Amino acid sequence: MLPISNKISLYFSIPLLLLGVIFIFFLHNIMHKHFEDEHIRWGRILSHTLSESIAEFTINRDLIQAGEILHRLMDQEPVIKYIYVLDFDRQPFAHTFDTAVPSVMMENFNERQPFQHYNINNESVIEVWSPLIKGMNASVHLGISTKADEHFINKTLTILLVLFVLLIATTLLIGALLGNLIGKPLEALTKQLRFVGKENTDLPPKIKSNFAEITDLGNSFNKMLVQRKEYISEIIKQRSSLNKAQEIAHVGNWDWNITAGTLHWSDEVYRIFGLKPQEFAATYDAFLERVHIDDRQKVIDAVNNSLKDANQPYSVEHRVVHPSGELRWVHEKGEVFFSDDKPVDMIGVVHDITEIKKAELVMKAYQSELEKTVTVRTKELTTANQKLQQLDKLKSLFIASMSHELRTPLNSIIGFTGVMLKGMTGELNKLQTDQLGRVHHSAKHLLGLISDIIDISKIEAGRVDIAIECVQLKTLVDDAVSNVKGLLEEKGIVLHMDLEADITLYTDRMRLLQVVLNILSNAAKYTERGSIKVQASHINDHIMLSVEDSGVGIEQDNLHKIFEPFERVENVMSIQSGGTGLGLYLTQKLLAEVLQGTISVQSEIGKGSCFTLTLPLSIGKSEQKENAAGAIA
Amino acid sequence: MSKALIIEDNDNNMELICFILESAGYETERAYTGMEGYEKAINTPPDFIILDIQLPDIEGTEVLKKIRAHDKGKLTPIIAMTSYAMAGDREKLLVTGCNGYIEKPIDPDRVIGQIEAVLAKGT
Repeated sequence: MLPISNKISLYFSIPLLLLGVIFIFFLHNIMHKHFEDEHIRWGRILSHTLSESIAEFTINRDLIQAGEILHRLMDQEPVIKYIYVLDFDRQPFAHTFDTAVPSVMMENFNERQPFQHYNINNESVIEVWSPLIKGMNASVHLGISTKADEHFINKTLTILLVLFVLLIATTLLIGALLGNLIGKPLEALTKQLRFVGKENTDLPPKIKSNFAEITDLGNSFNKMLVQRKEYISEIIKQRSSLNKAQEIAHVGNWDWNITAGTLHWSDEVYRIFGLKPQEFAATYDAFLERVHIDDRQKVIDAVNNSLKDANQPYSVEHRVVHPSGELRWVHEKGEVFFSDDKPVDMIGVVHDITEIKKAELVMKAYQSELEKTVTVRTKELTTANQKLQQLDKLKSLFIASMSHELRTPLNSIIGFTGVMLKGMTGELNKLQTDQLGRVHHSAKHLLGLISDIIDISKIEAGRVDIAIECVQLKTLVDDAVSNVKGLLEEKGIVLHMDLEADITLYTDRMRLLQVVLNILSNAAKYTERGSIKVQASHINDHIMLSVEDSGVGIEQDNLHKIFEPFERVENVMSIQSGGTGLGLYLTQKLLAEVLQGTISVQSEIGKGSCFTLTLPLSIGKSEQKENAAGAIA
Repeated sequence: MSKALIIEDNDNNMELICFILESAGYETERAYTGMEGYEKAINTPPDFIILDIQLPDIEGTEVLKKIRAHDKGKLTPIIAMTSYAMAGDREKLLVTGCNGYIEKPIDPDRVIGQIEAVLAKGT
């Protein structure tokens, strides 16, 4: 390649040279023609003038006079080389030749040609002629030398040639200068490009040029280099943070160029494999060598599967052996890239899972330990559970027998003392009646206690059978009243009933009866005179049932105590009342656990008490105790 | 003179109820097990039966069913004896075919009245 300066010179000088040659050629021709025309015009005028002055001498054949005129003219005009006159017979009459008119001129003469070219003594001559007298054959011929013209033309052309040469020389000079002006900075740019190596990010010195464009180019180039430097530092930063991230995560990445057969590892892969870059041949086979011998086939199979099938991503766990002999567990994942169905590249990651594997082993050990413990504990629990179930059965059996075995003899005691007290077995004296009455009463009390205790223990154990049925409230209250009627009549207490008509409940009839009866009998027990009022009404999906008495009443401080077991309020009447001390406790338990209701009390000492039950119209099945199966008598 | 068959395993209770019935002028026949009670109810049909529900060999309700299942026991009035704590079972008994029930402990003042009320209802 030619340097730019030579090119510029070449591009300018060649056309200039061609132009010069053509210009000189044309100029020569034009000048030549012009001078010829001038000579012919001038020659004709001169010959015409001469013919007028010489015609008389020719006719008279006065050769002396004619010759004098011709020579005089020759002397006056040095460009005229010769003159000759032809007479009427076309024979030379007078002439200025040394000897005679050359015969060639005579032969060439033709009336139709106004001029002729001749070469006389190596001198170019134009011959012009005019007729001596119009219409006659006689003529005057002038030979005009063109030597001066040639000389002039040659001189002019020489000057022009010199000028052209100068022009071309200048052009070459300018070319060289331009080449320097443009080429030098470009050369500098090239040097800079070489200077900016692969890793070299230093900035080269600025390009200086008189041309704005080249300065711009240099500036743009420098700007580009600054950006490049920034990009490179950014890339270096990212590369180092990626490297750090890989180190932290114990994940390295690799790129296997299958076509070229080269394998590139990131720093972390080298760390995982315990190798230095100079110790590794960076090929697939070199990699396989580092894989534990027992895992090698597995890895080869996994790689081959992925190479065969694009849908089968590479994923394999294997061990690697460090040169030190240390073993590491890794998990590799990768993807193959295909070009025209041929695998060309494979990239992937290596995850060092040694710690995970270790943890897994520990976990497995713990797990099996745990499983063993669980098995042992389960056995123990099963045994304990069986024991508990046995105990529970025993307890149920115990409660059942309590109910039967304790009650049966008590029933006998109560029955027989009752028969005796009635006098059916014969008359008793006063003391016998009193004492037997105490036995009878105590036995009844004991029976009541047992019944209550059994009920409470059933509720607390969640073993209450709940039988939901349709209950007419009035029937139920009547039933309860019939149980206390005797006592009321005995004491002369009036009973007022104010029940809203047709209240129907869906509840456990027997348990509700138990509750109502308890409250009613309490009222009867603690009231000595006056009346007991039973009221019932329903509000939305609840009913309110209240039993109001005019009895002894309860002190405000004691109100909260009455629902606690064995907390009978101490007063004068308590001794005579004969309750078990569990009645209200049981009542409250039945309400809460079975009937889904509540109980509240208002009382004033000496004026009476009012117990109010709030009960749902229907108790939900879901609230039933599920494990109510235990058969307790 | 009406004859009552009392099926009751407990000797004391048997003695008590028989004494009360006899005092009231009833003739009594005693059976101490469910099977014995059933056989006597069929072989020597009484005027009415008092049946304890808690029996050692078979449940009182089973005895009740067996008697009711037999031609000769179909119409015999049967009065069940239950504890107050077994209150929930009384309805079951009535459904099974009992004509009435009396509660334990037996109240000598009321028991004859209760029995007569049941018998009067049956006739």
